[in-house]
Amino acid sequence: MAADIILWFLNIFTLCLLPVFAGLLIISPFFPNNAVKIRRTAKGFCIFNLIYTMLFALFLNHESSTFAFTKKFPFDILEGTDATLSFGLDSFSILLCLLTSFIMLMALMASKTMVGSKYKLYYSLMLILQGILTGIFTANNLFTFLIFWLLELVPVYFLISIWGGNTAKQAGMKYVLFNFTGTILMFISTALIYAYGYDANAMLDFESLIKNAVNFPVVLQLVACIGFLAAFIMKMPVFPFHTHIKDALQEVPAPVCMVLAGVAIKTGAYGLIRINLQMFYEIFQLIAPALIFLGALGVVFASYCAISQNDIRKILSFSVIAHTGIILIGIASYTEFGLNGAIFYMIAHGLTSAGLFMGQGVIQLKFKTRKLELLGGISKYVPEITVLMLILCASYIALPFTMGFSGQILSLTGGFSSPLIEKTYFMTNFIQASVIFASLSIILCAVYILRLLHKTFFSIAEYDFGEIKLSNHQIAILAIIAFAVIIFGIYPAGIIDSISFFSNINIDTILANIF
Amino acid sequence: MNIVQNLWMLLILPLMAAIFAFIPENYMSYPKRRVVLFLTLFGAGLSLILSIICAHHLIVHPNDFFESNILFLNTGAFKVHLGVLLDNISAFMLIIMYAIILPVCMFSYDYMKHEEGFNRYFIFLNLFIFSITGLILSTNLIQFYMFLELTGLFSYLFTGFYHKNTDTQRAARKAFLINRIGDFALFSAILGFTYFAIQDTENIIYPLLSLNDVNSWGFLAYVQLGAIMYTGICLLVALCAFVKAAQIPFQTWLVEAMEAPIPASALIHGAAMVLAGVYLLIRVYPALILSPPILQIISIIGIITAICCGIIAISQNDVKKILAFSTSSQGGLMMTALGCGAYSGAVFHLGMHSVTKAMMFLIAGIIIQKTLTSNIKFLGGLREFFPILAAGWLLGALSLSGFFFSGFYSKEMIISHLYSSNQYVYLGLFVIAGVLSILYLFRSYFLIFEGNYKGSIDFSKNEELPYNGIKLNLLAPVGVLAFLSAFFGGFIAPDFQRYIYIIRQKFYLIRHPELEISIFILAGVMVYIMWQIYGVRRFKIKKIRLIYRFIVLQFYINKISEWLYKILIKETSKVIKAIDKYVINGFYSLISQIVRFGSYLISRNQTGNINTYIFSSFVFITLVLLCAVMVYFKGLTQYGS
Repeated sequence: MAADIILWFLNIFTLCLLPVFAGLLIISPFFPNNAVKIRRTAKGFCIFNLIYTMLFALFLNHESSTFAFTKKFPFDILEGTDATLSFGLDSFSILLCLLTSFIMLMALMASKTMVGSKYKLYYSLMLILQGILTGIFTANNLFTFLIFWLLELVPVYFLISIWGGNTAKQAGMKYVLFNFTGTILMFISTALIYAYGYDANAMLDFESLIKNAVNFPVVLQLVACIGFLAAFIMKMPVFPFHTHIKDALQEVPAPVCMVLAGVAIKTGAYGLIRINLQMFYEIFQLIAPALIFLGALGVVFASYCAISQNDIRKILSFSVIAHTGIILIGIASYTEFGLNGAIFYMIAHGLTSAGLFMGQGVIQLKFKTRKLELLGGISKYVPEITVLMLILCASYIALPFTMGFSGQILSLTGGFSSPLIEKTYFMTNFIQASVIFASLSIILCAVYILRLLHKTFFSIAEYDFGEIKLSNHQIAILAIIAFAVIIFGIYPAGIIDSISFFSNINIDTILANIF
Repeated sequence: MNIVQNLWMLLILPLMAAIFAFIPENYMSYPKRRVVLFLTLFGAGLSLILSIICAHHLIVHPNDFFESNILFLNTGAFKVHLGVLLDNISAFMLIIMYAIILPVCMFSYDYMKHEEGFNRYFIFLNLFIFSITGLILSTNLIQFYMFLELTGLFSYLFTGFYHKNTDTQRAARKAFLINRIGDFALFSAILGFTYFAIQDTENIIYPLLSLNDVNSWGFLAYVQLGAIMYTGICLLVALCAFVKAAQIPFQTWLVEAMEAPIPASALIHGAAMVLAGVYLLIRVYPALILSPPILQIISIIGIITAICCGIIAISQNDVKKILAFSTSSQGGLMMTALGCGAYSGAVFHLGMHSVTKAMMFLIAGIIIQKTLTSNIKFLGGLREFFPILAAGWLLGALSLSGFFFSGFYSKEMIISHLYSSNQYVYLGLFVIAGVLSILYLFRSYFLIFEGNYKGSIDFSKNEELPYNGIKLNLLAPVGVLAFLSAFFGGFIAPDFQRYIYIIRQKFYLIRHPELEISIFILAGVMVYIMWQIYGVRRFKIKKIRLIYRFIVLQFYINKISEWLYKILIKETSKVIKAIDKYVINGFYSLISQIVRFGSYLISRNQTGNINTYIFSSFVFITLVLLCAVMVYFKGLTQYGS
């Protein structure tokens, strides 16, 4: 009985649109322009959303191949197209929804001290961004997905260019232009798929696409696959298209960094799994070896770039690009454990990078610099932060019993034992050589992370920073994230069990159809 | 049997002690440091008792083993298990490890009592005990890899324990990065072995890459890879062992790691890390025998390390560095023994060496604490003030060089194997390495304890104090370890080869009295020569500067590795950073410049001059009309025809 009441209460529209509504409420002129009230309201909505998402996760059947909680909403503006806004959840998307709510809550808590101006606009944009990201993860047809994908650029652009540093306008424009290039190709692909069938409900629905996309003409599949791929690798970001995310991460304040690196760029990997792998796998398998190679190249290239940087933020933003390569290898591996590893690593990297950016933000706030040569020996000023950052860094360099380890070993083993080995081009062991090349990250990642730790925390203090006092909420945020990283590192089954059915059923279908 | 459930306690106890040590001191009403020590000792003692019980059971039932697994990662075909596996080898290793851990914990308490980072030290120590126990009890190679990485982490944390100067931090980083090379090698090997183990999806044996059943997955890889590629993949495993056991050319990290607090050094760098490296090879030995070249490579690297590090150790003046190079050298001897097939000898020597080396590290710790220097040029004549320490060091030197005591049995086991299996080249080189170990150990003994004291500290006022002012808490652990290294070897040696057995291992139980006697005489002569040189200073060694420099600088291996680091990491990173900035970013900037130029060209048309507008629109309209007319007529002609 109680379960029925809760199920009635669980409405997926609310999940996506409540944050947007909250954002609009805060920006509306009726709302008092009082920093404390704004912050509390935003945090309240965010906590509610986290609990709400948890309820969804609790009542979701993880062993079902169909979308649950589906809701449709006719979109009357486009008359004659039958286009609907359609939402639904499965075990994969609920995981990313949870990540979104969690990291957004952490980011809003962190914003208390790190964002100094225009509270009203800032908090409303963050909440709207949360709604849009949840919309991307819960979209149940291509039309909805496309709309939210396009909308996502708006708050991110404003967040970068208003609260960024000196070259923020440029970075924001770059971010929008890069993503827009991909989105146009994605738009064309969606339009082509729609034009092929002239029936929006049947054609654009995810479930029917997952079943029927294999039967499309090969040319359509090829064009659609490449179009979507372009959008996703721009967002992820895959190696040669990474400059926009690097510039964006260097400009924005730390909480926005947490959301950008932790959640926003995970939409790319989400789309890659949801659309390219689940729908167009027959064409995608031809591109997958090249993607594994690009991923490996990105890992080594970005790691090397990070090694000689002198700015904590720059090191971290290059490391984000490097770790994206490992996610990409897991996705393109076409194995069950590779896919599991990629999804697990998405969560792991989301949490860990959010924590590291948070720590960087605290250091920048307290020591007024993020240059390595001006810091040094700060472990005696902030011992709590040092311990927590050490745990997060351990996860970053994939030490066992932290989240990073499970994700990395699964993704790389998946890539190495990929069934695509028989179908590769260029050379016989092309994929395996690429994966070994990517495993160099074990050494290279340790080089830059240890350099960061050494130059910020452990070396001799050259400057006297005086009395440093940390706020409780700053330590709390880092501690919560570090705790999650350790807990799911020791007990990875907590996440992997919930997605293993998803990846099992998908990979089985794919392999049955390909081979 | 119930014992399997109890085995998990071995992993849980140190973790509990570590968690307890996390609680800040001001939350406790009673002296917390003693409680931390008590918990640590309690865990280690219980573990020792448990492992002795297990070992006793295994002596009675030699083919038995205890295994228990839990699923760590359950993802399709690739499942990772964590577990405990206690068989004859791991039981022996566990006893040796805990026999070192208990005294070291006792020693650490008094050594670190007044230091700032006491809590931190005991947290690290307990977590290290956890990781080395997990490593020894690993059921599969993936678990072994996980715990190996953890031991590397704690080695890093201990090396950088004092962040007073930049050197310790640099050393810690260097040690960790060199260790990471080994991790990378083992990870690649695991990728390869896993690939072949899960190829046949119906018949996968779990736990994957089980260390209890190395033959099956090793053979699977061997069949599918072919002999040459299989040697390659085994070489990766061996590479990891070389890195962890500080073999040439990776020996530099062990010397750098000597910045750690001495008791931690005794445990980690004297015993555990070398143990981890050699133990890896011991565990995957059935897979290694499939490829004879790999055994040759292991013996060659081992013997090169044994001889080269022995020579380097003679030239060193820092007592910690002498011990570090000695550790590398002895590790090399174990590698040689493994490569030549003296399996049980290698296991035995590993155990005996660990105990003795830990004791010598502890003595060195007391000496450094008392004399405030670790340079043996400023020591000398300490036998007068600290006769107990001198006896201990002499015992260690005699044992390690294979003269008397435990080391005698282990080296004799290896040498008689080499002699019986006609491997005379290795036998000769092994004896040379043994002679070198006599040279450096007795050089250090004579320079530290004989002759006249050259330092400035006055020890005479300590003479009324018991043991000349050394606390019993520091001496007792040394005594325990000294007792073990004196008698433990002789106690278990007769039955050892029957206890440690392995498939395809030939048994060489024959004693060779003529060999023993001749080596005994050789050793005696060498000790006499050292006595003449360093003890009574009858001869003076003439240093040839060029060669001396060459040896002191570790044959330039350190320089070369630093140079490689500079080229491969630092300079490459600068080049790649420039590529990122100018090529990739430059390409996008170029596009934006092109667009900007295009917009400039178009905006130039907006002159504001009405004549230009009218003219251009006139031209445009004419063009459009022209096109329309052409299309119209073309259409007409088409319809017409």
